[in-house]
Amino acid sequence: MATTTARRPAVAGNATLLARLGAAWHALLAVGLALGAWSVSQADWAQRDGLRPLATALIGLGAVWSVAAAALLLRPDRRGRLLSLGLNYVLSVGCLLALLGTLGLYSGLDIVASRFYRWAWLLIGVLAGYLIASIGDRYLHAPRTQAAYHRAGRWVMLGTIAVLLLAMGLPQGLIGLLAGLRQLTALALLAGLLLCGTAFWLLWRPQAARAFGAGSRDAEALNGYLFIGPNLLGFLLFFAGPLLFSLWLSLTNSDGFRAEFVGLRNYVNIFSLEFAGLEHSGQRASEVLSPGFVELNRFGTTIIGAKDRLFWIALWNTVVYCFWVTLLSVVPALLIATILNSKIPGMTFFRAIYFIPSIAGVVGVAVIWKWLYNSNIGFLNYGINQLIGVINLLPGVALDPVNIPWLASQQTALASIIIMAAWQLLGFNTILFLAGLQGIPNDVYEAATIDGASTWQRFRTMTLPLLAPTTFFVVTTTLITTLQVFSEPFVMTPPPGGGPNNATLTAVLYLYQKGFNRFEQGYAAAVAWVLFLFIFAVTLVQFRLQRRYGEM
Amino acid sequence: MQRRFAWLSLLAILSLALAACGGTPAAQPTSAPAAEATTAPAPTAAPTTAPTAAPAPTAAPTTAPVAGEAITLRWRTRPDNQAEIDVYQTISNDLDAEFDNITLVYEPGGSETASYQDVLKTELAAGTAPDVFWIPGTDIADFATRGLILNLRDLADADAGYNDADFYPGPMFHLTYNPETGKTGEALWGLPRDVSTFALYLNLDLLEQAGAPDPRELAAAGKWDWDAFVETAVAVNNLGGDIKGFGMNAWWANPGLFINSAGGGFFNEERTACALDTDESVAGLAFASRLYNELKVAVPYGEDSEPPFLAGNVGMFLNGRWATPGTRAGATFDWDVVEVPAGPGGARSWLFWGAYVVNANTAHPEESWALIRALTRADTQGKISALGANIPSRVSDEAIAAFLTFTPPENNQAFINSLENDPAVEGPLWAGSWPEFDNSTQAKFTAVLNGDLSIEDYKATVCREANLAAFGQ
Repeated sequence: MATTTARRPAVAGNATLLARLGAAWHALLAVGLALGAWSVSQADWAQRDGLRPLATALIGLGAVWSVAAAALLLRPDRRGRLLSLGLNYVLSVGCLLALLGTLGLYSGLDIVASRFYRWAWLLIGVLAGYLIASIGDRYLHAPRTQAAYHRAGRWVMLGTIAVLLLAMGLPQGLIGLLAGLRQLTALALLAGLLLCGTAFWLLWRPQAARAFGAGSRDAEALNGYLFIGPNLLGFLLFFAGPLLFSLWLSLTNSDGFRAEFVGLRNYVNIFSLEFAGLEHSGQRASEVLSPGFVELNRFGTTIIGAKDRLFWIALWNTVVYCFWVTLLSVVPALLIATILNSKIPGMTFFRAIYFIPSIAGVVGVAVIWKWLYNSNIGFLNYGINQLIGVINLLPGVALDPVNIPWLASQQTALASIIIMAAWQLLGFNTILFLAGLQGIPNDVYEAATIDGASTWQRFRTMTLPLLAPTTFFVVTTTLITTLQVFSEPFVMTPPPGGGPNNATLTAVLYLYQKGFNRFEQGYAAAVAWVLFLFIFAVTLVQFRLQRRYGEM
Repeated sequence: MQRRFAWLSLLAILSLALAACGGTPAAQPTSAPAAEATTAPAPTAAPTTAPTAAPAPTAAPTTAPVAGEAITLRWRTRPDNQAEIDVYQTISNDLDAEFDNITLVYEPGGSETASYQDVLKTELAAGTAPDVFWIPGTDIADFATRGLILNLRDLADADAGYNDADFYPGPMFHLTYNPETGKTGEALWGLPRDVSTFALYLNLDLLEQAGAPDPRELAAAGKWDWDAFVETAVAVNNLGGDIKGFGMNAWWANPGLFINSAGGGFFNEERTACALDTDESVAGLAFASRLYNELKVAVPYGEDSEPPFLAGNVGMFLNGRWATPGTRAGATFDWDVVEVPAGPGGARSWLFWGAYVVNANTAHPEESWALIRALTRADTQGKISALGANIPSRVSDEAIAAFLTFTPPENNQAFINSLENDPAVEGPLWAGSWPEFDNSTQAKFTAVLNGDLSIEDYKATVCREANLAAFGQ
C-alpha cells in the first residue's frame, strides 16, 4: 500500500511533465503548420492543378489537430495522447518519405535495380557459401570441423553480399547521402523526422500510457492501428488520396499544368441535353438547337441535342458493349462449364484450352484479331470466302465473295470488338462456373435422379439456384470489366482510337482522350466520376437483385 | 538464428536503399517554369508558297557547348522502327563525342500508336520530360501556349551561324509565330527535324498486268490528273479478287490531300475557323467518296492499307516518305512512287514536318540549343535521310542531291516536286485546339468515305461541329 502510495505522485509527476512537454511541442507544431498553410496558400507551385486550396486545407487541418492535441494533453486527457500519437506518426512517416525523396532514393532505385542485374552473377558466391556450409553437415562426428565449415560458408556468403553491395554503389550511396544531407530541405526533414519520432516514442511508452490513464482498449486500438498503419497509409496515399484528388480535379478546368475551380461546370457540360421539335424529319439540327448544342439523335420529329455529344455516344457504346459481352461470355461459359464438369476423358485438356485466351494479354490478342479482321488479307474474310466457294459447288448456287470491312465500318466495328472480347472472357468465366459446379454436392443430384428429375429439370431447378452466388460474382465482375473497356478499341482502331465515326468510342477511351490527347484533365476526371457512379449504380442494382433472388 | 537472419535481411535492405541514394539519375529539368499560357491571337497569314529559291548553303552551329561542369542532356524522338532507333543512337553517340562537357542520353519514344505525345505530356506534367524532344508540327501551338517549350529566339539571335532562312519557310512560319503579337518571325519554338510530302506508291507489276498507263510517264507529260488517276485505279481494280486500285490510311492528311487538290483547305486564311464546308473543300471530299462508294476501287477507309499494299493487292498506295523503309523491306514486287494527281486546284500535297523543341523546364537551355542546332545540321540530317524515312528540312541543294541518291524508289524526285508545287503546310492551330478539330473532322471524313453520311449532310454539319469543338464558337 505504501509502495502504491509512493508511486502515484511519480506517475502524476510524469503525466504533468509529459503533458506540458507534449502540449508545448504541439503548440509549436500548430504554429509551424499554420505558417506552412499560409505559405502554401501564397506559393506559386501550389497553383498547379488547383493544389493550393487543397494543400492549404490539409495543412491547416494538421494545425487544428495539433491545437486540439495540445489542449487535451494539458488536462491531461488520454484522448490528447491518442491525437498526439496519430499526428506524430503521420508526420514522421511523411518526413521520412519526403526525406528519402529529397535524397534521391526513389529515382535511384531504378539504377540500383539495373546494377543488380549487372552484378547478380556474384550471388554465385552465396551459393558457394551455402555449399561449403552444407559440406560441414557431413562431419557430424567432428563438431570442430563442422563448425569450421559452417563458419567458412557463412563468411563466404557474407563476403559475397558485401562485395555485391559495394558493386551496387554502397560507397557512392553513402557519399550521396552525406551530400544530400547538406541540403537545407533534407536537414529540415531530418529534424522533423527526429522530433516527431521522439514525440511519438515518448508518448507511446507504457509509462506514458499509464500516466495518461490509458486502458487496455487504448493499447489494443493503438497496436491495431500501428499494425495496419503502413497499409493504411499506402491506401490513403495511393488509392483514397488520388481518388479524392480526382474528385477535386473534376471541379476544376485543370489541363495537367494549371487549374482553376469551376464548380460543377464540367458535370453540367456532360449532362446538358436539349430536346426540340422539328418541323419535318429532315430539318437541320442547327436550325432548332441552341448554340453550343450538336445533334445527338433524332426520333421522328424530335431531336436531341447535347453539349458533349461524344460523352453520350461513348456511354451508349459502352452499355451496348457491356450488354453483349456479358451475355456472350456468361451464358456460353455456363454451358461449357456444365459440359466440362462431366467425367469424360480429356476434359482437363479442354479446360486448359478454354482458359488460354484469358491468360493472353489484351493488347496482344487485340493486335492478332485486328489482323484476322483485315478485310483484304485477313483470315476471317478468307475463311468466309472459302466457305462460299464450297457452297457454290452446289448446283444452282452462285454466292458472291464477301469483303466485309469488319473494323472499318461503323455497322460492324463494335460488333467485331464484342466478339473478340467475349471470346477472351469466356474461358475465365467458364473456370469460375466450373469451380461453382464442383462445389455442388453430388448426392443432391443423385436424390433428384432417384426422384425422376430429368437432366433439364436438374439443371433448371437445382444447378442454377445453387450456382447463384457464382453467377452473381461472374456477372458482376464481367459487367465491371466491360464497363471499363479501353484497350480493345484503342488498339484495334486507328489512333487515337474509337473509330470509325466514334462507333467504338467507349467511356474510358473518351476520358483518356480528353485527359491525355487534349489536355483536359479536369473534364476527364468528371467523366471518370460519372462512369464510377454509373458502375456503382449498376452493381447496386445487381446486389439488390441478388438479395431478392437469394431469398426466393 | 531466425533473429540474426531478420537483422541481416534488414541490413541488406537498408544497404540497398543507401546505394540508391548514390544513384546518378539523368538530369531533371530544374529551372523555373516558363511564362504563363497566353490566348493565342490569329496568325497574320498562312503560308501558301513553297520554297522555290535556290537553297542556301548550310552553316554549322556556332553555339559551342558551355564549358565548365559536366552536364547530362536527355533527348527523344518518335522512331518507327529499330533501324531508326539505331541511327538516332549513333547520332547521339557521335554528337556526345563532339561535345566536351555534355553527356547525351538518347531516349527513343514510343511510336504513334504507343501514344508518344500523351506520354510526353504526362512526363512534362510530372517534371520528368527530357531536355530536348521532337513533336509533330500540329502540336507546336499546344505546347507553346501552355508554356511547355522554350522560346529560343534570344538564343538564336545570339548565334551568328543561325538563320531562319536555312529551313523551308512553311514550317518556319509556324515555328517563328508569336502568339502574343500574332506575328510570325518573332519567336522560335524549335527547329524542323525533317520534312516529308505525300506520294503514291505504285505496284508496277499490278499496273502492267492491268494494262494501265505508267503514272510516272503521265506525270512527266503533265497528264497525271484525277481522271487519269481514276482510270488507273479502276483498271487495277478490275483485275478482280482481292486486288484494289487504291488505298490510304485513316487520318486527317489523306482526305485532306483531295480537299487541298480541289482548291479547298481545312481552315480559313487566318486559321481561325473551319473551311471544310466551302464548295472546293466539299468537292475534294466528294471525289474521294466517289472512289470508295461509287467506284469501290479502294481498300475500306479505316483499314490499314499498308499490309495489303505490301502483300501485292493494291495498285496505288498514298503515303508519305516515311513509308519508304517499310516498302523497301516488305515489297516483293516492282515498285516506285509518283506525285499525287492534280485536281482542280492543282497537285497539292502536304508538307509534313516535325520539330526538335526544348523543354521549358530544362536546366540547360544553351546546351539544349546547341544540341538541336547539331541535330539539324546538314550532315546529321543526311544520316537520317539515308534511312529513307524523310527529307532534310534544310533548303539545300546538297541535301536534296543527297536525298535523291537514297534509292529505291527510283523516282525520289516525286517527293521533291511535291515540295516545289505549293504544298499545304501541316501546321498547328494557334487559335484553337488541333486535337479537337482532328477528332471532330476525322469522324465526319470516315462517315462520308464509308457511305454513312451524305455529302450534303457533311457540308451542313462539319464546320458547325468542328468550330464548336476546336474554336469554341
